[in-house]
Amino acid sequence: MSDQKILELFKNGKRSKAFRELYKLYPKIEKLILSKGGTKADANDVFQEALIILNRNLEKTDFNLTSSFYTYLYSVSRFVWKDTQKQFSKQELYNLKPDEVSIFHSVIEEEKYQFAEKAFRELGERCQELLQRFYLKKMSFKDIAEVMQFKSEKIAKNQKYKCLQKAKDSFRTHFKTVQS
Amino acid sequence: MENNINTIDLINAYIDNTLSNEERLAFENRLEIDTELNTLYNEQLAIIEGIKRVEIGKEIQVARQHYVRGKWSKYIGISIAIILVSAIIYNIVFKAEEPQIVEPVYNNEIEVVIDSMIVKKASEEKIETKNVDEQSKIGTTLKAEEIIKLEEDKAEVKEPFEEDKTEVVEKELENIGVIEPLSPELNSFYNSVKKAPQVIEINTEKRFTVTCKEGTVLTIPAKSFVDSKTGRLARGTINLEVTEYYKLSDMLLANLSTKSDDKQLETGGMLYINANKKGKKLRLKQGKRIQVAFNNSDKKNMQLFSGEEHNDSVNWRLQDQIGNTKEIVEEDVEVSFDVIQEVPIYPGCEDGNNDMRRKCMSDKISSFVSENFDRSIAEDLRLTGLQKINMFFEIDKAGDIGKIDISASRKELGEEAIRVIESMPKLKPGKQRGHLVRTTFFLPFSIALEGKTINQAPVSVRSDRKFIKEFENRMDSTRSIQGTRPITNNDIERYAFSTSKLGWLNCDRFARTTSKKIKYKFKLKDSKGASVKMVFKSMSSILPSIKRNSDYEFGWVPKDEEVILIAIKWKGNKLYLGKKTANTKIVQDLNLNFKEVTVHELKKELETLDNGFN
Repeated sequence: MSDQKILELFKNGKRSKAFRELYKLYPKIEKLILSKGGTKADANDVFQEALIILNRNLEKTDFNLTSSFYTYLYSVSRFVWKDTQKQFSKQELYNLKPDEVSIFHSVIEEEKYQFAEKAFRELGERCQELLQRFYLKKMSFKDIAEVMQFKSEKIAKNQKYKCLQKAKDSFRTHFKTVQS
Repeated sequence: MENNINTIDLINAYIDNTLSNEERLAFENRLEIDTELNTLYNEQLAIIEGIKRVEIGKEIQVARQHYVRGKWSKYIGISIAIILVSAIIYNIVFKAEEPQIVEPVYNNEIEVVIDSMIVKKASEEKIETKNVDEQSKIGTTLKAEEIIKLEEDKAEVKEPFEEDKTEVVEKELENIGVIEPLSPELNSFYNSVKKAPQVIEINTEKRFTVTCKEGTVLTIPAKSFVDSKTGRLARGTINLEVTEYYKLSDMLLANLSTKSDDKQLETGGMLYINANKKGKKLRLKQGKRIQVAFNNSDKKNMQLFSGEEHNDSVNWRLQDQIGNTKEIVEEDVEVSFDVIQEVPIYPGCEDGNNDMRRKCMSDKISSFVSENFDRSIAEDLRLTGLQKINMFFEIDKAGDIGKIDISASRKELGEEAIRVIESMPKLKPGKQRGHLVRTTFFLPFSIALEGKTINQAPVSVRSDRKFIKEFENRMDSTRSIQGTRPITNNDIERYAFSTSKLGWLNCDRFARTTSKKIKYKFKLKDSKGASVKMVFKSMSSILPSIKRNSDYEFGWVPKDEEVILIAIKWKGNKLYLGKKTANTKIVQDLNLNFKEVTVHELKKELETLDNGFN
């Protein structure tokens, strides 16, 4: 499938199908990671991260894919792997080309969201479900209260606040320890 | 808290873009001056992105599974293609081989005569009405034979061409006419007299050796069976069904014969083995083998054949030919203590026959171990109740203890067992077919201590003394095993086979006759509903026949062999037996003088033949 068609899939909300198409590029990425001393599991993680970053950037209005998906995913994967190995030297960072800088920023930005994901995963199952229903499925508190059997809309809302607060607290501590 | 919730609501509303223009501008202004709100806002954005990551991650995993599945189905597709291609190649090679086997016999002149005669005979029969009496038919066929003989003489000059022609004619003829299947009545008769299998309950958790009713010894390694459908390992107790066929009468009543495709076999016994657990069919796990020792001591050069049932009968194939290769030539051969022909001799056990020595050795080893095993080790470990220690070990070709494998509840007990076994006196090594071999020995041992028995998962302890010894042997190349040539598993397995398949097994060899072969067939009087077999007097071999165009065809058989033709017939709800001693030469018609028998009488009659068949 051509890049153009894959791009259309993303635009038309057929993300799953687009991911399936892009996964055909996986063997090449796996080769890259293996050649850099990673394992197959590492390659799998890196590729997933690259796909998430791609997806995030595609959602941004000011993002333009200037190269092919393959080139883009390859560069992102390379950066993700380097980042996890903490291999960036100052010199390297100075010498980055403009498009590499944007990729580098994406990777660093994504790190923040990784911590957010981690914080979210640390929540109880009910909290996770509640936040997902509210933020992803955009359900009203009324509907949430009904589906998740809260006594009232208000209780659901309070509960959601507590869950979010918990996630934020955990996120803050994780993120700060890394940044400092 | 109320205040905070309101702030969050505001942020949510901003993110969802549900604020009015004015409100939005106000919020954006606040974001710039109010650092606290700014942090809150950014954190919230991050958390939402984090939640999204979970969702996207799931989608990517689905894509990944799709990819992995696709990859595997590609592999499977390729392997299927390879299998198909090799099957086709096998077929081609096999078909190419067939004429080579048959060709030399075509040079036999008698053959050509007979076959051409049948051309006439077959065509005549089609034209003639059934009322024509037998006599005149023979007359015409005889005439025909003369004519053809004359023609044959004339043709001799340009022999090669003529021969080619007749060959073609014969080939075509082969395909004319329908093979008459066994009548359903006869089939159900065979089913009704089917020998009942011996059902043996075995515990699959352990190695198991059993001697069946007629002397077949089976040795089954632990955890050898898997469900034939699911492939899952069968645990606990299972049923092993074994039917042994050593006697001619048993084989005849089971409609068995000894033929591998078109080659004649001589049998040393047949087996049918089946396994099930609570009615669910089991098969042997890949890589696992059952050791089968057939009860036949005086036959040489036997090989293991597997049977496939088709066309009412069983066809035998060499096990290595159907893809189940035996372990390829290995210098060392290992034979189980339970089946070995000459058991190793423990000092003091020299007297008596093999079985007495076997028992003597078992007893001596048991008492040696129980005398020397230091029980205080178990006491020191504060163990209670019954402690089982299973000991497997090898006695090597020099009579020394080789590899040891112990399973016990504690490592310390295993180590003590190894110490005891290694301190055993030197034995005289075991022999199989006159060759020194390694013998495997299994000794279940247990010590009883005070208190409750607690079942524990056993640990396995192994001794690597053998490895060290082997290494030293290699270093010290002057030392060689005394007086024995290196022997292979193939040499030994002729008596104690190991099979990787259940179902029909046959300990056979290809019949080696130097005499000329002829295509043997005849017409039989009153043949409706009869199945005819040929039993050889000179060797234990049974050939089946197929009925085609009212002829009973046996294919190529050695000429001038004394055989007994046995026909079992089921007609009009009555059972008949026809029996005749004959010489394999060309005949046209045969009368077997069928006489009516009861099932019991039939069995008795067939059993009278058992003695001449071994």
